[in-house]
Amino acid sequence: MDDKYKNNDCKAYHDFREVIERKDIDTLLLALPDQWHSIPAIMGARSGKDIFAEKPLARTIREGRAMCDAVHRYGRIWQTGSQQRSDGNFHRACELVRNGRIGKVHKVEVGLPTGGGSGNNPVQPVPEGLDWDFWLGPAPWVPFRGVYHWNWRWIMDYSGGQLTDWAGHHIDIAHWGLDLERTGPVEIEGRGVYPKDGIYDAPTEYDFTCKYANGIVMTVTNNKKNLQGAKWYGEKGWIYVKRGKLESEPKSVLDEVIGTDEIKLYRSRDHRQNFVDCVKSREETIAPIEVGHRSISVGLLGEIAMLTEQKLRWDPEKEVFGNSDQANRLLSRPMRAPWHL
Amino acid sequence: MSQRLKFIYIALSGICCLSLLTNCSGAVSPQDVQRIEAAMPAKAVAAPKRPRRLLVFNLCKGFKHGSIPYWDKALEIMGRKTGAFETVVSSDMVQFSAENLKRFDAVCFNNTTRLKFNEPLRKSMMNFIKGGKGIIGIHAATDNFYKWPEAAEMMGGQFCGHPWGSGGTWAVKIDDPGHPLMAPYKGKGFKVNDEIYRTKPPLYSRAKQRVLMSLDMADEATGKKAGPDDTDIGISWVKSYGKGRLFYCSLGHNNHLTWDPALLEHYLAGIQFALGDFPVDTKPKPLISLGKGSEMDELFEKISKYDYGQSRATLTEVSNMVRDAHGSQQKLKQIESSLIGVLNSADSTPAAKQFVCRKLSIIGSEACVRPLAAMLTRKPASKQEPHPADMARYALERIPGEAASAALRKALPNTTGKVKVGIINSLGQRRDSKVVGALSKLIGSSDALIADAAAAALGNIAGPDATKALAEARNKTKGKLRLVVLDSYLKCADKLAAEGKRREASAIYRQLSTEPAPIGAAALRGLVTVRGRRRR
Repeated sequence: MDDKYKNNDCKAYHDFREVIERKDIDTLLLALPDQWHSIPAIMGARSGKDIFAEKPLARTIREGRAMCDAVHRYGRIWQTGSQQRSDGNFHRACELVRNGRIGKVHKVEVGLPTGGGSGNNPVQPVPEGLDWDFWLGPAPWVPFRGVYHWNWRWIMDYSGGQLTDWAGHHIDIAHWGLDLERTGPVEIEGRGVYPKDGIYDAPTEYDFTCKYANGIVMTVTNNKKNLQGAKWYGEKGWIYVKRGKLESEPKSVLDEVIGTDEIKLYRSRDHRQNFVDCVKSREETIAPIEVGHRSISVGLLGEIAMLTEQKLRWDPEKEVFGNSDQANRLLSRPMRAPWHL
Repeated sequence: MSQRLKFIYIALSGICCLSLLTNCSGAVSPQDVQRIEAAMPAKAVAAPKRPRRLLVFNLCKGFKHGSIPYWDKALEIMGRKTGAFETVVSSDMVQFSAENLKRFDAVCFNNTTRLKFNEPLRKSMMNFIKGGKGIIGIHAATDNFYKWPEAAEMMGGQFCGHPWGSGGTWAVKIDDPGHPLMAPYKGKGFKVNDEIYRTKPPLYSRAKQRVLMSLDMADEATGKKAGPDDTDIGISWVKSYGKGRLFYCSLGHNNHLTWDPALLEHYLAGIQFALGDFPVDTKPKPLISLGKGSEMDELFEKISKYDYGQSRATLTEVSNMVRDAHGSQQKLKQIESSLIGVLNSADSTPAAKQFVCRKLSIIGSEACVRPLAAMLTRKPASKQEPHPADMARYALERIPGEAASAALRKALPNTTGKVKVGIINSLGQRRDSKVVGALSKLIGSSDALIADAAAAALGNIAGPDATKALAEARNKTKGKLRLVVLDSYLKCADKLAAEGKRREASAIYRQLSTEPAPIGAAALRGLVTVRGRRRR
């Protein structure tokens, strides 16, 4: 860092709050395990910073809503790290769907990666330099068992496995193509396959179905069932997109030209540049916080539906379940003292 | 001497002898002997297989209980009246020699304290019980074997205090109402005026002995005396030990217990069990037993031993059980009871309790609020376990209803530091309006973390009282705390705006618009929003 910028401005801190308190810092880049997504974001918004934060937006729906409220309240610029939005492939797919090139859509299939299991790691000494208590943050205290980089993804206290790791990508795209990105389903039902043993406990396989108020059905499964990516089915055909692939039936759909008076979706050629541009212009980014919240919400709703194996009714306006007290309890996670929203 | 005088002399010495005799039975008045006789069961619980001899041992190297002669007498009467056994009362350690011990079918430690057993006597006693004979302990029998771990293990507990004193009346619950030794109580808990000994894990354990009855901490007076770790105070238990048998009962400090009919029946049954004439189930059982076959009991017992790094397959089984119980109130209640049992068992691991709290956070009802609330004021035994208050809040924060809120509010003044902060946070998340008064005061706390938490919680709760409190705090706080207060105040305005109360919201926004950015800017934004455009 010092070499690249030829100065000693780069400073490392142990406590993120000291960074947020600096008045000379304008923007924050948050790359944290999911249990830590909400608190620094809210603190950052409160102290007037603009934020680029990694997906999934939050570990729970309540946290996501609190983050949205804070960002809106303080008028901050927010970019969710769902970089597929700035990828031409996905933009094209969504614009074709939005402009009716496959007719009225009745179903979208989302496929996300399949997960894996593990052994029962023993309790072990905390490595030098790791503040385990701080790493855990608001998550329940457990002794250190060797997992703190990358693989926290497969432990439910910190993240929801492949489902939540990727929901912010392909569910986000599915929503974008359907203009559902600022709302949610009204019914969710599904089942998952969970590791019976081992330190990882997130679902390795999952299969849930969401129904939206306008009749559209979204199924989300691991990629042994649905194809990895998003596939919209309309009256006149289908469109399938994933990283590096765009297909349609009929093939001619991909040759369609979108007219000047048709729906033109927000175009960003570089996800990071888009953030910087918006910090300066104060325009909304291509992946604003409300959208990020709604994308991961579908993943989290599916998570709750699978954990309870109940057919759930959801109110996307009030963001509460209509028919399950248990499911409502799972909308938030009590935080370890002293952390709070 | 004349005939007459001789007669008087003999009569007088006869009377003297008689009174000496009664003095020898150690100050048990004739009245009390009558009471004991009257209360004593008439029949044995089981026909003895052969004539039985019970050594009633009463030597004390430590505290000497006044009730000792009462139990000596009571056991003598018991054996005689029912024909179940004959007693030999002694305080001579020589009785424990191999030669002497084999004359007996069982040994009863009658409130003995701090006995010293040398090697040969230790061997002899262990061979005695392991070889198939019995040992009975009354009350202070657990005040022994401090230097002899094997015997302490055998007894199933060691004295470490008696917060429940002999002057008080304490509530007892029957943990195993179906057990033959508990028949005298007919399944009903009772209150007793006696001194209750505390025994702790690892020596006291529901995994090692079959605990039959224990203190009922749900009773206010009894629960009040309990220390932070006193969730499970066993009173009676049985145990198989080698080929032999052990029975212990903690009741027997006060004299009047020796003429308590139900207790005497209980001791009779326990003694006949120890003697080998009344076989009963000694299999250890977890605290809450569903009686529905031992599968579920075994499962929850395994849960209570879970520790980090081990296989969590049994936890998964219970999680699946919880999930599958949806729709069945009865099943959910059973599971909840079993979970509470693990929580209250003295020897459950912290990891097990953490798992229990996670499950209770999903299916817990008012029934689990009390045991959870007790954890709010408990301290962790070490730094290598989750904090009991955090575990409890994991469940309490999620369980809807007034009981959980009330429990959190109640604990607030009794906690400090981070624990207090956690409780404030949970009440804020629950949007509890009843705690607003307390929180307004806590904004003035000298502990910065507490003040910060209180200010933040008020913003989450919002509503008229919180809004007023924050308006006042705005003028009384400064620095970082004031920024938190202002943010919370803003949240109140946002809530008013969302409810359509535009004038009240505008009033607050206008006040705050004079604050420096980012608060001021946020307030202006609020004003603009409330005046026209739809939010978002």
